[in-house]
Amino acid sequence: MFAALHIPNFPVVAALRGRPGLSAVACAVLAAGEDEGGKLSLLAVNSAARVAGLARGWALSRALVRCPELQVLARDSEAEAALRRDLIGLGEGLAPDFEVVAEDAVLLDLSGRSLAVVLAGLEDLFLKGHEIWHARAATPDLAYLGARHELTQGREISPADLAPLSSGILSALGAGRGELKLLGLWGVRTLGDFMNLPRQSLVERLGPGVGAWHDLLTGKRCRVLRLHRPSECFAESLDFEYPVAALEPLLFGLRRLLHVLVGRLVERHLAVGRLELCLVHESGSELRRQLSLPDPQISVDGMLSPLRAMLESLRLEASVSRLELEVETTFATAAQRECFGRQLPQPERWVEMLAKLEALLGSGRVGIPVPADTHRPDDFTLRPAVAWVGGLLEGEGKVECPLPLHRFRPARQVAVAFETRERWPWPMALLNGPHVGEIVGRRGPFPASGNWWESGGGWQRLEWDIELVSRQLLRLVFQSPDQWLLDGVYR
Amino acid sequence: MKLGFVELHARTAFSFLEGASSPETLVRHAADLGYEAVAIADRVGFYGTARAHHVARECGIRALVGSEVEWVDGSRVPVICATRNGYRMLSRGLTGWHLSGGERFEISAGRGDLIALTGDRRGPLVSRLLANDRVGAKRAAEHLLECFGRGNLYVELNRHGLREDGRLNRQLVELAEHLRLPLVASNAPLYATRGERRVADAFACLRHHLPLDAAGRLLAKNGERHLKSPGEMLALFADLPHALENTLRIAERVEFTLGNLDYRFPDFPDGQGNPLSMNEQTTLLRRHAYAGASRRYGVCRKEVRLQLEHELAMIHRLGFSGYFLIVHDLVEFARGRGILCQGRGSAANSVVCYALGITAVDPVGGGLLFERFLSESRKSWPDIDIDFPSGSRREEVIQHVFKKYGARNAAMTANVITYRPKSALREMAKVLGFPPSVADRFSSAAGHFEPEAGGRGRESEFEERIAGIVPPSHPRLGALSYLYHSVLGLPRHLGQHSGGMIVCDHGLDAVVPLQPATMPGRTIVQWDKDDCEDMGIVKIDLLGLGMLAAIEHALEIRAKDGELLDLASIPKDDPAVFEMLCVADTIGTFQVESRAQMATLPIMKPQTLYDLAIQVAIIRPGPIVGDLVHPYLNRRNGREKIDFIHPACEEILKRTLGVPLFQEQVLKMAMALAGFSGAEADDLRRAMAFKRSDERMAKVTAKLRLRMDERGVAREVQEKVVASIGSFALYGFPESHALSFAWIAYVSCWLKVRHPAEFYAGLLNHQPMGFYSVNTLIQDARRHRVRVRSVCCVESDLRTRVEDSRVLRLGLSCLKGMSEETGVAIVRERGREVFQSVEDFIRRVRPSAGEKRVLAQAGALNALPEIGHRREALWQVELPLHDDLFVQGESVGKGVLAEMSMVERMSADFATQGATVGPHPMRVWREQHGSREILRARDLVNLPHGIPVLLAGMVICRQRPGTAKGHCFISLEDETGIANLFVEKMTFHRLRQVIASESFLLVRGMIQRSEGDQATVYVTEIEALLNHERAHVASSHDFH
Repeated sequence: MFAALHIPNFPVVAALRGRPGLSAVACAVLAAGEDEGGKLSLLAVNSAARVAGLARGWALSRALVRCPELQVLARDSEAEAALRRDLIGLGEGLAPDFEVVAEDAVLLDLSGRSLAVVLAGLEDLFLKGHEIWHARAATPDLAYLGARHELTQGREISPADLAPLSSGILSALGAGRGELKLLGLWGVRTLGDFMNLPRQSLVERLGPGVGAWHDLLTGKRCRVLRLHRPSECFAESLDFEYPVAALEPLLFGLRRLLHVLVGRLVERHLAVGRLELCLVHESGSELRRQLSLPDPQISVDGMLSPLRAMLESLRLEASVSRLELEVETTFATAAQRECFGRQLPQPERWVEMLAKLEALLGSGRVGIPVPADTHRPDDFTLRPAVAWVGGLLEGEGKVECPLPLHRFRPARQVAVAFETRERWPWPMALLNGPHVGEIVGRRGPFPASGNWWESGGGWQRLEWDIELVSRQLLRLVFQSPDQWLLDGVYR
Repeated sequence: MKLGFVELHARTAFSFLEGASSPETLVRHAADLGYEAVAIADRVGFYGTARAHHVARECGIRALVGSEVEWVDGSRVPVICATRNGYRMLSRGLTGWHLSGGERFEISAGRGDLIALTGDRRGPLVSRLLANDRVGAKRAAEHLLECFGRGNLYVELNRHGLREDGRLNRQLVELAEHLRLPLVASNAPLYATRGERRVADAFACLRHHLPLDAAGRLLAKNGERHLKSPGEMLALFADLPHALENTLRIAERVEFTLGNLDYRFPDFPDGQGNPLSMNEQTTLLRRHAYAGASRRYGVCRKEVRLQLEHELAMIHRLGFSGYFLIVHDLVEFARGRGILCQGRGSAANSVVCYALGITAVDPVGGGLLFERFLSESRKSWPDIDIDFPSGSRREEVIQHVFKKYGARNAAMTANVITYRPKSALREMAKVLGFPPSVADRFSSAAGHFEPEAGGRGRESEFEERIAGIVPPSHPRLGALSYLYHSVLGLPRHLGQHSGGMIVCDHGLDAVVPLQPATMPGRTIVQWDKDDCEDMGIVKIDLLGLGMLAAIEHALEIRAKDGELLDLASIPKDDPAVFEMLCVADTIGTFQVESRAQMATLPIMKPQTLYDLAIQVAIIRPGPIVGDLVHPYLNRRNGREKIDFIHPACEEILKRTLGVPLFQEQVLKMAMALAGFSGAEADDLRRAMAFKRSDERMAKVTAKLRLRMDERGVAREVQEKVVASIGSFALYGFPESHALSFAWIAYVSCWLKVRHPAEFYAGLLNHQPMGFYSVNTLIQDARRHRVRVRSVCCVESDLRTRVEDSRVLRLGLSCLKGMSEETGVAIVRERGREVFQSVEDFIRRVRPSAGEKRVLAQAGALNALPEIGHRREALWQVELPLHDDLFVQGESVGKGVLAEMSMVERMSADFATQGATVGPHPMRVWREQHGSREILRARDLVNLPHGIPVLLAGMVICRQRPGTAKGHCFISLEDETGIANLFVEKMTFHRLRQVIASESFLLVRGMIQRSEGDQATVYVTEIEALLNHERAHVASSHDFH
């Protein structure tokens, strides 16, 4: 015996999870592409929309005619994933062997389970008020199809029970648009019509795949479930008997946790790509920190070192009562890096250093800065410091000015005496800052601007190369509305 | 030499997806900035030069002609035409480049005829210097020097505010000194004003298929590539005064502008191909004209002879004899091939055209004004448009022209495809990274927002459209709005005009560059028809008219039945035709089938061909309903006093009861009241005809007012004259054109009355055409007692044919997805041997999987043995054909599927043909869900004004023309006919979703009976009709 659980109108149910205020309003989620007629169609509708007469597959324009107050929601992939997890959780609660047959359905193998217990469990299915349809049958696919329709859900079904269902439900078994269209042309409106077709003739015309559906529907074929195995969690925690305020006990605890985790990872030939540390304070508050490792690690010391650096940089508000450590796994490095190049004398030290820096500066703040593909000066992107092989962008290395420029980072704000010529401010003298004096020569302005399409994100600047009376050559920048910056000194 | 500056390397939006300003904008801005001349050098073409020339002339500056030519290595060199000879050489070179697919640019060394600059960063010098290849740059400069000669090559210097400019210009100056080449300053502008840099950035993204966020350094670093004022350029190049002076020297040296374009229409050749002299051509024309007049009139009456002489003398004086002979030759070619053709436009005013068989309207009998066609005061060329049956027959004529004049002497005129609201939003939204659904939703909303007369501006219209799609707080909405409005109307690419042909006998490629059209075997010129007209290039319009093809087909069917008919033999005063027109039974006919025409016909009650011409002219394109009833109709029916506006206009407006309906009348009024000369009147004509410029119209109107003021014409009269011209611009026709169209309309009506089966067969075989869907035409045929039989693989031909005088058999080509080859194969195989079974049919015809299904679904295989019904055919055709194992005649799984119900058959008909020969979908609905309260179209006929009604039907037409002040017109079809609905503007706005989306409507409203006693439903409420089969939908004609 098999059972199936199904959440009808899954995308809209998920999208509405975080918006309970909309549950009484007609809502729909749009399908990703256009339908055959080139129109945007509804992927799923909620019960209020169904009451208004709308259904899945309706063109959006037509739906808006029928129900002008229809709310069109975007698909919420995170909410869908959460709902799917909840559904899987329900399935796990009823039977250990189950298959996630679709994003909105699970199939349970009930063999060896007490029917009474299972029935009671099915009756009590509850998921934060969401409707869950279920059905039982001798084969998994019959149960699955039964659970997908309001008429057959909630009971044990036989092939005969499926007969009145629309043939469109065959799409759940993998029927494509073409096959369903042909069945429609043949006048096959229900599964009963389909089952009445001679199997052999059907196979001759539409191939063995369609014959297999016929077998499934008539209960002649029972397949084996593709059992769902949850992904393994690599997380460990430690509750301190007494709250800890010093660093060493924390490191001791972390080392223990890492030993356990590394042991498990080694067995599976995996390594750590990222660590997530959670310190639970005595007060109950939590402090979470993430640490990306530049190179996959399997050495406890290699991970403990950056963790230590991180902990040293932290100022905790209270003593720590609990320690949680979760690792994100990756495959251990198999590449023979720098085979033909000069190797770092101690590459592990380099990696450790990078990890420490990340621990101190924060996640995503360590890497090799390379100029971004933009005209904006000093704009850069960070590339991974380890295992990055690549060249600069075309033109990145081009020197615009042959004189070396000693850059001020950040550029220094200065006061400038200027006059306006045409539309440009024309610098006359530097009034403060490290270099002061009358400007006796200037080259420019070199205007640059960009990102004009971003509201508030656009930038524009004017650059001058100036010569002061003291014979110093400087780069001066004007940024609208009225900011003067000294960008550097030519040496 | 005085210090000044001329921009010699400007590009416009005709450097497609590079330049960001129209030629008009750029030249006007140049004039505003104080330029005396500006050179337009678009990428590999003279695309924008004609428009630039036109605007420059208006602004009193010179537009120098040039183009960026593309070298084999992809670098670009701006070249300016110094002399007419240089223009010819460059034009030929550009043609060669385009016709060779961009592989070679050949130019014969023109010493002094062409002036070249070394170009900007895409030029051969700077591109090499950027790569630090100084040797290569020098070599490239030497190559250019060799091509253009010393004194004709200038080293171009740009200063765009980039740090590299200094180094590059230093190296260029050194190179110029080394090779003793002169320098020239330029800003190489891509747009007129600094702000348009944003459009140039968006175009750069489109060029590289990237959104703005990913375009990075492909975008401009700043907005300096705009047209800078001479003052700015003087300041920028103050250290290089000779580079500025040289721009003036070049401008002075350039003697050529498009004002002295040397185009000459070809002379008609003799039998050996040698061109005839003007006298010889006139003699030949006279001979043809008199021979034709004898055929047309029998005996040449005195008035005909006098008119012929008058016209021939003027044609000779104006030097147009060759033109008439060439057009006559084309018409004769078509006739020789049995291709129906008829001239239209103002040519119908000429008895010479009538005698030569070019037009079908007798201008002497109709009292038409020849001077509207040709006038000595107007030096422009005559405009003869000839209609041919659309499709392959017209292509025969076009290919004849290409063959006769040679590939480089004939071409089609271009059609400049500009950014329209949908395309503008689609591309700009893409550039800004909006998801495609934004553009999809904007496009789908477009139909609801057709511009309303006197309506709101572009901005508010856009805002209204976009409001429901992109939230106002979206950070990129401002950029989208700016880009959308900026690109609207800018050229996107070049298309092909529907029929305008240009010929030349001394090298058309030397007059304007040619390039291949998308259709094989055709070339196009780089100017559109308005540009060609501006440049004095004569075009002959060889237009395709679907109705002419349908008429030709109908006459062919008659001919097969032994009745030889041609257009001339059709009686022009058949009372049955006018009777049909008076009751507006005109579905499927030419010009008078639209909703607005049908509403007016019972008021107009046409009794003569001239009445029909007025009818054709009066509804163009706006409908006449409610308060829009035209004064002409009121006066014709005696409800309004005839007002001739001014006593001087009485003679002019007498025939149209004081209402200026025709172009000729408007021109004559301008001449009579404002003292316009012939040339000025012609300007007015062109302003009215010019689609692209409201400004041009405003200018002529101002002049008209001024002149009427000077002549003391009362202000009230002035207003009436200006108003009549303004409204004319919306729906005006020349009288002769209206007469030509009226004749085709009459013939179509005559066929409908006298030979309905042939008429409908002609229509059905030349779809898509006209106002109504195939289904509506079939329903109309049935109402006229013509039986339409379904497609059948045993009976049907490829095309729909007449089986009997009242029976049609739909052709295999009616089936969607059916290839012509399969249709031909069915007819061929059937002719060889009767099909024994469905297997036999498939084995011999070899239709594709889709075709098999369509044939079966449409019931076309029902006549095959052992099939009987559609489902059986659908079941059988899915069985794969095993050539070696198949046992013929074996019955495999027959009788498995049930027969289709009537509703299913109807659905299948709509799916496979878009029409059904069965009952109307509304009849099916009514049988199952109808009630006595829900009326049919026929029920409205006898209902009195003001009575409330409830009506249901299938939408076949939704219209919201710009002239209707936002009101909407809907036609609902049911099993009894068509009901007309009027939806007032506010009601439309309230119900637009349901109107736009639903194919079947349930309507509440009141009967309105206006003049003509036609019932219209004034709609108060509309809702979707429930319980109808969604598959039963024929296509509707929407929002045109």
